Order: sequence, then C-alpha cells, then structure tokens
Amino acid sequence: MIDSSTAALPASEGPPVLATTSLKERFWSWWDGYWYEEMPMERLRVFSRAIYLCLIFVVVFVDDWVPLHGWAPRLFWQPIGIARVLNIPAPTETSMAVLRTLLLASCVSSILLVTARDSTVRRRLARGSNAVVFLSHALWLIWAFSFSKVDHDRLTMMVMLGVMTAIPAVGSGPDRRVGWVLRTIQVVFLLAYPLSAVSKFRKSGIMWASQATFARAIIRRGTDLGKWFLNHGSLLKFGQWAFITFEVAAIAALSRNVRVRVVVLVGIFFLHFFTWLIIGIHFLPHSIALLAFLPLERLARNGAPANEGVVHG
Amino acid sequence: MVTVVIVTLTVLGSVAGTDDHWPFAPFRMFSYGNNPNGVVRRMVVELHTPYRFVRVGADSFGLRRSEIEEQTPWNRRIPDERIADLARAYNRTHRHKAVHLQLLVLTTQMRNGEKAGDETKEIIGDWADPSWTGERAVIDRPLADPWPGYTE
Repeated sequence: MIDSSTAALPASEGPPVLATTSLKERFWSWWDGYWYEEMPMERLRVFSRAIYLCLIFVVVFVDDWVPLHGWAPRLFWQPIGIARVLNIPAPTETSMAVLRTLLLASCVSSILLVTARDSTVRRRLARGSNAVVFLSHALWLIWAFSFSKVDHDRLTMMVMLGVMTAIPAVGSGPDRRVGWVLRTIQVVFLLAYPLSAVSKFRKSGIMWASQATFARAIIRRGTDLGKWFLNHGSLLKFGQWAFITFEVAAIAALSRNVRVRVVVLVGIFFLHFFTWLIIGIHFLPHSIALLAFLPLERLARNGAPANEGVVHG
Repeated sequence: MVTVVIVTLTVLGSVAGTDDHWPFAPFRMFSYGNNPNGVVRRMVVELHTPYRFVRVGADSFGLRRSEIEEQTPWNRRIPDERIADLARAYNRTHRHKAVHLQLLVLTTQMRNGEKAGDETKEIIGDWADPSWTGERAVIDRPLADPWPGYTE
C-alpha cells in the first residue's frame, strides 16, 4: 500500500539527469506526502465508529424503502450491470430481511472491533467484519438500485467501507496508512462536486443554472419552506448559479491549504443544509464524509496529542 | 495503485459512464434542467378498495416514485400486465385489497421558473378486479414500449 518509488530513484550523474531526477523526486515526494501523510490511528478509530454508526442509522431510517423491494412487482426488476454480471437474482422478502440483519450485525461488530490494542488476530477480525459490512452493503445497494433508479451519493460510502476494510482501525499512534485511508475518502468525497457539475453540463449544457431545476424538484418533493420559494423564481435561479459555481470551485479543497479547505468545507456543509431545507434531501451517506477532514483524535479517550488543526491533513 | 484505480474509475464513470456502471456511475442527480416555461410532471396512483377511495404513493407497491416514472413514459398507456403487477404487489401487502386502480400523470405549468396554476391530471393506466362494477377509464394513447434500459 505504501509507495516505495522514492527509494528507487537513480543517482544523478550530471546536470540534465539531475534535472530529470529532481523532477521525479519532487513528484514522488509530493505524491508520498499527499497520499501517505502520517495521521494518528486515533482519528481513524473515531472516524470508523462514526461511519458504522451512521450506516446503521441510514439502513434503519433512511433506507427504509429498500426492504420494500423484497415484494416489489417483478416486472419492474431491472438489474444494473454488476447484478447481471454476477447473476444476482431479485430480492425476496426473506433474503432482504436476512441481508438487513447481517448488515446491521456486522456494523455493530465492526464498531466493537475498533481497538487501540494492536495484534494480528485483532486486525484480522476487524478486517473480516469490515469486509462483511462492505459486501453486504454492496448487495444492499445493488438490490436497492436495480429497479431503474440509482442514487449517486452512495459511491462515497462504498469507498469508505472499502478502504476501512483494507486498513481496519486497530492500533494507535501516527500511521501513514491512516493518511492513505482518509485522503482517499477526502478525494472521492470532493470529486463528487465538480463531477456533478460535469454531469449537469453534459445533460443540460452550460446554461443549466438558468433553467428551473430547483423549481421542478420543489414541485415534486418540496418542503414547506421550499414551496415558498416556488413564487420567487429569481431567488431559485440565483441559488442554482451559486450551487453550480460552488460545485466547480469545490475542487480547490483538494489542496492541503487549510484556509481554502475551511471555506470550501463550510460551503459544502451549507449547500447540503440548504438542499435539505428546501427539498428534504440530505445525502447523509455522502456528506458524513466531512468527518474525514476533522481532527477526530481529540475525541478519542487515549488520543494522541492533537497537533493538527481543523481540516488539516 | 488502489487509489489510482478508484479515482480513475470515479472520473471515467462520471464523464463517460451510465447508471449501469454503478458504483462508478455519473453524479447526475438534478443534472436535467427544466424549461422555466415548461411543465413539471409526477405520477401517482389512485385506487378503490371495497371501503374507500385513496391516493397512494409508490411505496404502497414496494417501489419509489422515480422507479415507476423511469419505466413508464408519461405520454403512453402502461401495459396491462405492468399495472396488474402493481395491483398484485399492493394486494399482497394490504389487508383491504384494491379492486380498481389507476395510474395518473399530474402536470404543473411553469412560467418564468415559477409555478403557474394548479395541477392537471391524466390517466395512463386502469386496472380493475373482476368484482369491480364502477367506471373504467378509456385510455386513447399508444401502448408504452418496453423500458430501454440504463442508457444515461
């Protein structure tokens, strides 16, 4: 997992080679520092617990429609690509109930297996439990989305569960692998915003923001506050321009500049808050990844010294 | 390496993929613009049980509204076997069975990005149990083609 390219660089033998080597060195040094920055395992321990707790909440309260697919009309079953490739059949009420129980139970065991005491057995147990969560959650979403509607905010949760399976939250102290886990989550989380803007430009052209997308969403599923906006079209249009400008600008938070990150992350928080206020959609399985930017080790009982500020690292 | 694969697939799926490529599908929620002077449509189901008339949501059939809408063109008649399948799902899970069921399209006119007027409704599907003696809708529309699949 740790990149060792920096150790394999050839020795420099003259000015031209020196320049090339220097460029390479600088790249690998940046690569190493960006993806494998040392971060405290205490942070990953708190983060892991929060994510598995969040997943329990999502499965029980947000995804309460998924078990309904166990008895949905079979003519509406439209398996997505991965379900066809793996020959996954439509869910039944029984298989859906078994999966839900397995998913919830494995989330609980993954929370319980997060520990500061490191050993091979503890790491294997935690990895096994996290793998069960990852696989059962994948099947949960395959059954959820195979009726012709895919929710795109779920990629972040899949990636979070995947990298936490590779590196379970067992142990303590600074660890480059923690940096890899959290940076991967941060990058996938942030990419969702500019890539959403790309989708809008692909489907509706550069003038997406001048159309009536918010009004449509409010008519179809608006809250009381949202319905007030229905009589204020110019406000909604302004909101759309702000929304897409912000989505494009969010890519700036890929940098490690603390000030830029604070501005963007606070903006992301309010973007989701506003969306929830007017149409009741919170994207929780995605937006919970905001935690990956915080110095959560301060919440750990035996946390390492909190030497990193908010949204640093 | 894992990082490169995840990031590459995320970007590729977004710029060139479809929903069929999930989990690496495009982030296309709310990507469709709506004409500020166009219309907004949504589908609902109205049904009679032996005791009452009620408008119900898609969850009464084990589905989400967008799943019914995605597979049912608004300007076509839903095939009889599909609306019968909806009725069958409802009757499996409800004590008071549906004896008559209609799929409706509700349309709202927009003007300058604001709502202009009340919803109008059109019937695009009508199913009845043999015991039903009430009125049936005559739907003069072409039959809907099969759903084309995950094309976007």
